[in-house]
Amino acid sequence: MQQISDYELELMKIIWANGGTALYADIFKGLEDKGTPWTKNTIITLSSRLIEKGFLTTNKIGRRNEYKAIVSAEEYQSAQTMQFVNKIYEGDMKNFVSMLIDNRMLSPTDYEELLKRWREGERENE
Amino acid sequence: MNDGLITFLSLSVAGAILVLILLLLKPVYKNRLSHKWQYYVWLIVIARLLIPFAPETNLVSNLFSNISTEVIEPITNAYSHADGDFFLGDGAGTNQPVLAENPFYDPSPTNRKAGATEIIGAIWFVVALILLIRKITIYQSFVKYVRAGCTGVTDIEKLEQLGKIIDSQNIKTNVELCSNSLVSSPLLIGFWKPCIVLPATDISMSDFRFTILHELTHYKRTDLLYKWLTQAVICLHWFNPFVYVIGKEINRECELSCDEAVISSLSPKERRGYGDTLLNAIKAGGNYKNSTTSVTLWESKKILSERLGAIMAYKKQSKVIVLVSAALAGLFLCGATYVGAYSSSPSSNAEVTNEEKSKTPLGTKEDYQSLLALKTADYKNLTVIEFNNNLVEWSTQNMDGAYTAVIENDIAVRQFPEYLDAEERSFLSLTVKASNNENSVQMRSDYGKPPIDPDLSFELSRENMELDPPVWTQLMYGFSYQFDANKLTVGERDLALTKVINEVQNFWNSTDIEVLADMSSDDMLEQLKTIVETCSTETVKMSVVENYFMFQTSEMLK
Repeated sequence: MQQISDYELELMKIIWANGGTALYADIFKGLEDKGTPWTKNTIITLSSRLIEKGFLTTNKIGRRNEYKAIVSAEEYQSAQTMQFVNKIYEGDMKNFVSMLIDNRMLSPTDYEELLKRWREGERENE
Repeated sequence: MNDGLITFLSLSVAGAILVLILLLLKPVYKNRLSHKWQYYVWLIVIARLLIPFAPETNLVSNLFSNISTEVIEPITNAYSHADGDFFLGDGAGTNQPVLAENPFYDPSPTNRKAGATEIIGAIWFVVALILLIRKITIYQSFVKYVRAGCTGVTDIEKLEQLGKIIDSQNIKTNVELCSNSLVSSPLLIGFWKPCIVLPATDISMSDFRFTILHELTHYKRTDLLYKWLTQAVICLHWFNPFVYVIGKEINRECELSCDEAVISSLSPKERRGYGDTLLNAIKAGGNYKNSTTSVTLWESKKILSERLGAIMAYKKQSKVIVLVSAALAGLFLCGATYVGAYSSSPSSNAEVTNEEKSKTPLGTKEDYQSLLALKTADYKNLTVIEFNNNLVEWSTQNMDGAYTAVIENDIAVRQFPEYLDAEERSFLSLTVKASNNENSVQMRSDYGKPPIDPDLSFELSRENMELDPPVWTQLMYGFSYQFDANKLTVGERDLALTKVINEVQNFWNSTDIEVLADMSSDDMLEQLKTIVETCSTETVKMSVVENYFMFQTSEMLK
């Protein structure tokens, strides 16, 4: 997965929030709602770059372009996290989670909840 | 093809004249008229070099009709002269051909020179094509190289600045913004998907704004199209040194007028900032040599000082100057139209096929009436000697007027007034022609020269330009004949002559042109001999005159 810039990510977030597809007007409105309106040229330029990087596809609906996310938010998050863990923890996920617990980034209740989800998932697989 | 080449040459000459005019007047208009004017005035020259439209009378056409009679026609002259000379008992030699035109086929006078000009035309075309393809591939590889090393600018502030300028300039296309450390100056590439490429991203917002304004102005004015049009003209007129001057001038004025357009909307303080941007652009930058056809912020250091000077000297144009500019452009446009182009339209009176013979019939209605009086109801039943004597009598009476006009000119070049019908034309181009030749031969022996047989000769040509490569064939042949002029009637003689002419014509027209073109000279001569021999009878003995024989095909040139 290619790296995308912060502003490209902003644009992806709006499309993800819109259910994975968005028209130009949706993107424009999304940015306006966030209080960071962009010009048309910027929006089109950034979405073109995202298309080139394989994050979006576009298809015409009448005269309008509809953008569709090929990469889901989860896929992006997990890929980015993997990359982060690989870089910082040499790929050792356990060390990463210990760090989260040791530094109270993950509270005991969070931990219990995660454990419960994990066991449920295991049972389903059996 | 030949006419096309001449027309094209005339465009080149007309273009060169306009370049000279503009260069000579440059000291006068350089500091008085806007750079915009100085930039777009070259469009008129470009148009003149491309469009073969011209009014009926124009400078270059006159020039060219003179050239084409003096330079291009001499080969035709050599043959067509023979006619008149012979009758006048010219002692140039007994082998002097008596030329007659084929009464059933109208050979175009351009055939003879087709071989040479087609080679020239082919060379011109191939060179032009190679140059153009080379320019396009160089540009393509340049664009590919630049695009490959491009990274999209992520600085949202710069992207937004660009977006705002695009909105304010009413540009509808999306413009990408990239940086590539290898380019030596900011530039705009791509026509359908424009992309501004900066040498570096760490430039100040002020420099960035001016750079964008400059490049977008290029884009809005479709300078890239203008530059490519110029390049195409340079490739087509590659043999003309003046077109390279046009290229240089347009490139310079393109930048100067672009600067002018940008600063016209700036305050005096901003103008200085714009000049600073130009200077800063030199400091940054990579090393890839710019392709001549990309639009760059600054194309060479040489013109930078001129551009800075122009920015400092900038002042808004008064209405008077604007009006004068428009008037001058109009004047130059009219001038360019008048300089014109040469087209070999038949209506052009200036065009004469050669020095002595006119393509338009010279004979007057009276001339023809008097000659056609010989075409009595029973002229076919006259013996040849009787008819020939009548013709001699007519010739002597009309030596200065009708004889020169009709027999020496119109019949020789086979150009008759429209009111003559087919039978009259055939009478003139076969009966009168043959009898006139026979009289010439008779006159020679009367003067004590060795007797020779009368003869007739013809030119035939065919071409198929649709084939690739085009195929053409040309044949000149003649045959002499012997008969008893006291016994044979005109009708019988004409019948015998017509038979040979028709047989050759049939063979020529019914054979596949590619088969004809593959024949050797010897094959063709043999073929002619066979035809003439089979037509030869006891009363009219005919034989091929090898002196007249000439056979050329496109295949032989290979």
